[in-house]
Amino acid sequence: MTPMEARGASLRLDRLVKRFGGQKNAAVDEVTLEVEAGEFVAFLGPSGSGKTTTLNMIAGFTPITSGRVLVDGVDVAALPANRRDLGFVFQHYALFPHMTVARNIAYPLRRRGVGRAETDRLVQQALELVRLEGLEGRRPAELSGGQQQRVALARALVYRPRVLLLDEPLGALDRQLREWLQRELKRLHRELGITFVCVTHDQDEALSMADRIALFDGGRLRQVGTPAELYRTPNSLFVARFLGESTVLRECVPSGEGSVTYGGIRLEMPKEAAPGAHDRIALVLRPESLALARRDGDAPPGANAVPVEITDVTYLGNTRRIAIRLPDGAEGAVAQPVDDPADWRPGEPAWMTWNPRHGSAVPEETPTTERSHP
Amino acid sequence: MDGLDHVMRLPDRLRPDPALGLLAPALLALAVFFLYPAISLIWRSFTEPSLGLAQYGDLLGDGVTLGVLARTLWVSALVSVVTLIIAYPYAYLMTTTGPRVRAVLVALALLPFWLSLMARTFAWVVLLQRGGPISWLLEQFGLHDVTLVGTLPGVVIGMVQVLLPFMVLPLYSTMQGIDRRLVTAARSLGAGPATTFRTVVLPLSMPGVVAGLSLVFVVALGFYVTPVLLGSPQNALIAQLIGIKVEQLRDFPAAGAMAVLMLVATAVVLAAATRMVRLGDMFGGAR
Repeated sequence: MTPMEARGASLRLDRLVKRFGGQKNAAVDEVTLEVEAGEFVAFLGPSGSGKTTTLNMIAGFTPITSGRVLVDGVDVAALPANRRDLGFVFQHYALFPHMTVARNIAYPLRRRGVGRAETDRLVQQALELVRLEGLEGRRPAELSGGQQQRVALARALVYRPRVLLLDEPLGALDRQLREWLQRELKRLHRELGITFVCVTHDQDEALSMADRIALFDGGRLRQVGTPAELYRTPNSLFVARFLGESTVLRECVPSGEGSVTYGGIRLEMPKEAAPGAHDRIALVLRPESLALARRDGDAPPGANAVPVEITDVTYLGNTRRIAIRLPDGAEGAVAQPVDDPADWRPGEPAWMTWNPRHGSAVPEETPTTERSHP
Repeated sequence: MDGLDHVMRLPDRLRPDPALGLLAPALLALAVFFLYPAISLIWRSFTEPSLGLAQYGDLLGDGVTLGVLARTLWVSALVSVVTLIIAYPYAYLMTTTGPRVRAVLVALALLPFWLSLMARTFAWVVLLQRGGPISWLLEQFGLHDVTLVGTLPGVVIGMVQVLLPFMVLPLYSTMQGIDRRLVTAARSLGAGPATTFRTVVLPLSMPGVVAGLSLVFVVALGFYVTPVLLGSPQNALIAQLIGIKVEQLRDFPAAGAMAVLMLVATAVVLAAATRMVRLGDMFGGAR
């Protein structure tokens, strides 16, 4: 199997705006983003956050209100979709029902005037790439959802576009198939070296596939970074809550260099985690950074400790998820390794402890902002 | 008791579904008002004045009937094609515009159903007559003294207008079923608007085209009022001929024989169309 020799293009979004007629708020509000050639970027966000609209503007399906879309430095905003030479994979496959698999895949080649023999060769190659050899004579209706999506992939890749745009490509598939196709997408990305931009609302999908995640909310980009960066150092409560589980200590007041007070308890904080000049911050803690102790004195030296109440214990295979309630009533969770002999029961008091290095501080949000980002 | 019941029971496939009783009123009405008269007319065409094919021999040999039948088929085919050419872009527009414009377009398409056929045909007589608005309009383009009333083109114009909804509605329902994302997909794969239409929209709308064509064709074959009012005895269609046989000559067997000829012609066309629809389903039905 010969991988198709294609090279990715860089993609730059420059203050991209989409305003639909009659709406006060922009659907996409000044989105600026650099995607490197050959990178896999996931657009993640709740529905209505502008991620799909942004993708459609890149593809040329939705007219741009203002801003630029640059592919390898060339502004394509004025080109119709059929002249942008980008690949697009739709959530519901959008295969032509009146054509066989082979003719579906050959469709973009015929539009480009590729000769018959070359077309046959490329179609065969694309079928091998998505591992669907032998199905060229079938019609889409005779294929399973996963097979249909792979045909759609082959059709979008066969003409070697430099950027592949994917709109919730696995959204219509069941879980097992989705996980397998996630690995397939990663393999294709690795083999082809094409730039992938993938819209998803599934954080696991984004975390497992993408080199970088662009997190959208309310038409704006909230944070862009590698999955680890977004998980470990979220820049806002929204990002912290959207990606993964977290325990959040609200309304912490800075009390000098490298420390805050949370409800009267003094907590150490690394200097680099300081969120700048805010009079109130929220401290975000991930379940695996937290541990539980019976007594305050049992906490490892140098660790922060906050009294909590155990509310629930759930076995998750390799860990136990211990739900806790903080002094201010907020809910949180601690991941306890299953080989930890400590046996916690709902209703018990405990001390939640963590190494100060593992907390990340984000600006506290006023109730009004919070209402607009529920 | 159970054992006897078991013995008496018919095999499953022979036992009628009790729900079929719901068909009884429809079947009764069809039998009394359609099947009986139709069979009696056909029967008489073979038995009167004597048993045999004499009626058919007369019709095929009289030098008129075959010509009229051919003209009827030709006019119906022409009306179907013209209707398709007018209805196709109309139906396509219905699927692409916003809901408000679509509502207006649907109302306009259905409007003919709300007006009496007779009234509309007389309106066409007024429009098409010598010195009428259309004649005047053509005069402005240097075409003098065009009278369409009493001519075959006049008949075609009237029939097209009357039959337009029968074409628009099946086309619209088929086109509405076409996934708009396929159009977007074609665009993303490098097809311009015209190519997208030719390679995606047109093939997927074929079932509607075939349905509309056969519907209009079959209805046009039996058209009576419009050809009588807009045409002339010289270019009569088969329904007029049947009318003359029945009303003026009281020749029911001959009328029956003509009806059978029509029925055969219609059946042939429908069979051909059904084959094409099945072909179309193979291409477009798999969504």
